[in-house]
Amino acid sequence: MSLIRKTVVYSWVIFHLIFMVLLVFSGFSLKHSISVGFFASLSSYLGLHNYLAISKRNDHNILELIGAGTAFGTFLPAVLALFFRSFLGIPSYFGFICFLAISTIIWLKSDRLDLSDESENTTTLLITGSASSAAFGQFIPLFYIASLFLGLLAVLHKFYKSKQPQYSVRPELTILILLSVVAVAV
Amino acid sequence: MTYVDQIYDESLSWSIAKFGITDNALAVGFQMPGHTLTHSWAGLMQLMLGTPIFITSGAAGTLLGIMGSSALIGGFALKSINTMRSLIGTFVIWTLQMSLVDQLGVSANPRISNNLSLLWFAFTLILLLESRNYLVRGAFVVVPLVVGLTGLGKLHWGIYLVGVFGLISLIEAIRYKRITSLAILIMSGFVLACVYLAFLHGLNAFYPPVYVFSFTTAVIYAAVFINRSLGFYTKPLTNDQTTLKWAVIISVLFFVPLIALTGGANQEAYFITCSTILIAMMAGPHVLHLVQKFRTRAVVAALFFFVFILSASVFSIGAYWKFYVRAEYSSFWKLIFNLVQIRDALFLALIIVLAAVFSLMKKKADRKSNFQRHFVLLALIGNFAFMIAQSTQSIYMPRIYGSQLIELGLTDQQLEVGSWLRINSKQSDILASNHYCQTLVKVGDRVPTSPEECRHRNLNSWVAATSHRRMLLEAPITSVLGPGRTLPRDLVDRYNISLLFGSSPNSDHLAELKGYGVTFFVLEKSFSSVQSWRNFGRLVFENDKYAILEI
Repeated sequence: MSLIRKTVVYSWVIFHLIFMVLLVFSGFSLKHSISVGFFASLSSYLGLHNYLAISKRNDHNILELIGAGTAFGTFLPAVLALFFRSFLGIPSYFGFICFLAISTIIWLKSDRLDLSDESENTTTLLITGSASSAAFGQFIPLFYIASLFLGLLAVLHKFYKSKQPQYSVRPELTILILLSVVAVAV
Repeated sequence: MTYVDQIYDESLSWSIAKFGITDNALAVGFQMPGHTLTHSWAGLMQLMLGTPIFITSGAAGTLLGIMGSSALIGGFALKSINTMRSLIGTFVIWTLQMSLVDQLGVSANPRISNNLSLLWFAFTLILLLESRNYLVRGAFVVVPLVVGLTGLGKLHWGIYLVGVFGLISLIEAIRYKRITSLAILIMSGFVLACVYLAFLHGLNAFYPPVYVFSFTTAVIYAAVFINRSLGFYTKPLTNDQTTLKWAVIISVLFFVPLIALTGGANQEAYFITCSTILIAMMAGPHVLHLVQKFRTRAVVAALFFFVFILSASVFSIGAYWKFYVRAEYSSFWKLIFNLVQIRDALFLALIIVLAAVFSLMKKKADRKSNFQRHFVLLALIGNFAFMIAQSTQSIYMPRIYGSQLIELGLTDQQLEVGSWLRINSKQSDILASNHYCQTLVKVGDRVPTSPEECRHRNLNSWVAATSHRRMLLEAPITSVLGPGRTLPRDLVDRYNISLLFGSSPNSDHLAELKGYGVTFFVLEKSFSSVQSWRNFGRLVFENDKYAILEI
């Protein structure tokens, strides 16, 4: 696996780990948060490759790829499911199966994963998680704790990175796991 | 997160996943109207994963929408200026504006139909910008399809993209003879029109439009726009950011007068909501650069300003809710309501005056740039104070006024009813209920929406949401999009028969319900004085507030 592909997979895992932790913070069980998180992350990863298939650029940054992947990965199954059910009378989940099949073919056929300089990779993901958590927290004050935590992680990560080689993962993963434990306890 | 909107989203998600647009869980036998693509995703996830009610429609979809939008906006910021400051500045604007007060209906209330569709809007916007730079493969097919179908997530977003960017492309086509972008937008408009005819035809105004231009409304909404366009004056902008700047300016020129003319009857405030994405992408990367180099004195003054706005905001929110509930019809209420409504205009006036005063203290040559920097700093701090006041009201409001003011969307007793029905009824069963506003309607009337409790009851679709069964009629304001038009006879009959059977049942009412295929009736006991239901069916479930009758 190339370094770029590793970076994408690693960033995508971090992003969806944050998503799952925040779901638990919303009050849902760990089991359901993991199942929803898994499907959302699978769709988003396939969506990412769909986006790359239509993009001519070769200097994407990781946030853009994850955002576009999440958008495409939710948009396409929703469209297919709605059309199948409304006009062909086929159960909705065939829409997802169809998306899965098409996207997997695109993914397997594609060898593109173009990424610009990613030195601040994890910090940007943590900041994104923190901002999203604060925006989502309009009605859930508990989310401010989550956003502060993620913000703190971003600062720690940036500080740590200045002393470590690139693509080191330990401190933020450790604290994210700690955050997960706190979320589950809450 | 179970308020009326989230309850509606849950029922719609189940309905769309189960029946598509061919049936309607809230009005059995009718086509499902409206922009339902986000609900299609939530319903699909729920159907496949078998998750409990509300997890995908109430939290996961909303959160995924916010996180995805944040990632796209952040990615765009890094693309224009690749620094942490650019990213953080963008998120500061985005987060603050996403979380501002919603009395004017211009914030994206956190719910799946807003947030997931905003993610698709942001994605389509980026795709559109990329296609203008010839960076999308198959742009003539892909972009129109994505733009048109974004309108199925939220019609306003589709109109915004086609209308605003169509106008920009038209101007460019005339000035620079570049027609590619215009051609793509024309095709997008065609797809959007097809989507409208296939899915949204018959969609009606939420409230009857006014068509009388209100100058006050125009001033208020213009103030909101200016407050949110903090970095209008930032330089230098990239080509894409310049396009976004023009899009925001066109939005102000078109949509503010439109809202002032119609009273926002078609939810035109959504055009301001989606503009926040453009504003964050355009101004965000520059905003922290603008407010740096402040001295301690200015920071201390800004902190005082923060405390002042926070206190004023807490007071106005408190007053709003206190009088909203207790004195809705008094003249005092009107004064408070108007004060809250014009808060954005007052806030804007205040920061302009303060920024002008601060800049006057500087040398003449520096005044312009100082005014701009102070304006941005004060606006950011003020928005932050609004956000804190708004989002923590569930903590301080019960302390000030007692817990009776906190309106719970779903009660445990309602959840019990839904749970019983989910377990003990068949998926094909049709349910009816009398939990609507207790005002009978005549043919030619609109769905009752006044007073507030009446509107709330006619918006609440808790039976379908918690039971996942089809209803004879529920949430008639939104399920058939009625208030903007008069109700057809069939829906009037459904509405009235449900009320009459609940309050004073007879064999004719029973026969009529059975004629519709109703098998269970969910009775809100407080609207009925009937002691025994033996002649009308079997009481199969009961708690303090509700009973379920098998008929």
